[in-house]
Amino acid sequence: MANETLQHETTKVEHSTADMLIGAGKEVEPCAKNVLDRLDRIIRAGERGRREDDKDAKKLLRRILAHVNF
Amino acid sequence: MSAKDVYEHTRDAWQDEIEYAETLRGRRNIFSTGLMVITGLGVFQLSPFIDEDKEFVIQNPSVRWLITILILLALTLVVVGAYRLYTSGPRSMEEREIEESLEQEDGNEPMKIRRASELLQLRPDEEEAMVVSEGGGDAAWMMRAKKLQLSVSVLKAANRRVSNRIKSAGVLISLGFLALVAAVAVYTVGINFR
Repeated sequence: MANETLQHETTKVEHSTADMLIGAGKEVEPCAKNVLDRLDRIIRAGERGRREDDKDAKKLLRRILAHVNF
Repeated sequence: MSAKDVYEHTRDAWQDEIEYAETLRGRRNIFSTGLMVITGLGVFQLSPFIDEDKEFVIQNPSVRWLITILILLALTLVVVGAYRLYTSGPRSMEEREIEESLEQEDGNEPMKIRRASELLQLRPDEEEAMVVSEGGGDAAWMMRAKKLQLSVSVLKAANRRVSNRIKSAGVLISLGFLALVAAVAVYTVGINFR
């Protein structure tokens, strides 16, 4: 799931930190932009995972199974 | 809010998660003490026989079975509880997504995060970007903030996972303790009513 989504994101990072800095009139070198975009993508992937974890936590059956799965 | 403020705010969150991890370690130690107390009670060695003549201490076979079941139940609950207490469990989706993204970004090399602080290490391209952006520049501060944010996410997910394990272990060990107390109570009552 993460791989599929990442393929879409490699071209464009939504709410990019680098773009935000540039928009605020700050200087951002291309190599710094690449690093910031990469970190943004990984953080977004983590946020997606956290949303999945939260959804799972709300499902009683999965919650019980998570406890059974040691 | 400047980029440096963002970094400092993230650093506060990191410190908070480190303190929470220490709290969880303390909580685990409390349950460890509880486990030692249960083991130290020696109630797992409740003797079924009066010495030498092999006469049952408890005459009623139904009561003997009840005690056996309660002790086995207590033993099972305590062992499963201890296992959950000392193991960290399967990784959350959040941690797996971050690992998969790192693999993708780093050229599909398998990556397993063992400690959240591993993510603070600078890759060669990050070092270069930091140098080019200058240490005091906004882009450099944001890079530091973002790397720390990533570590905070992983540490927070790990803390949540460990906290859930400790909670469930606590429930299991407590139930085991109750079963054990019940077994001792039935044993004592059984002896007195011989």
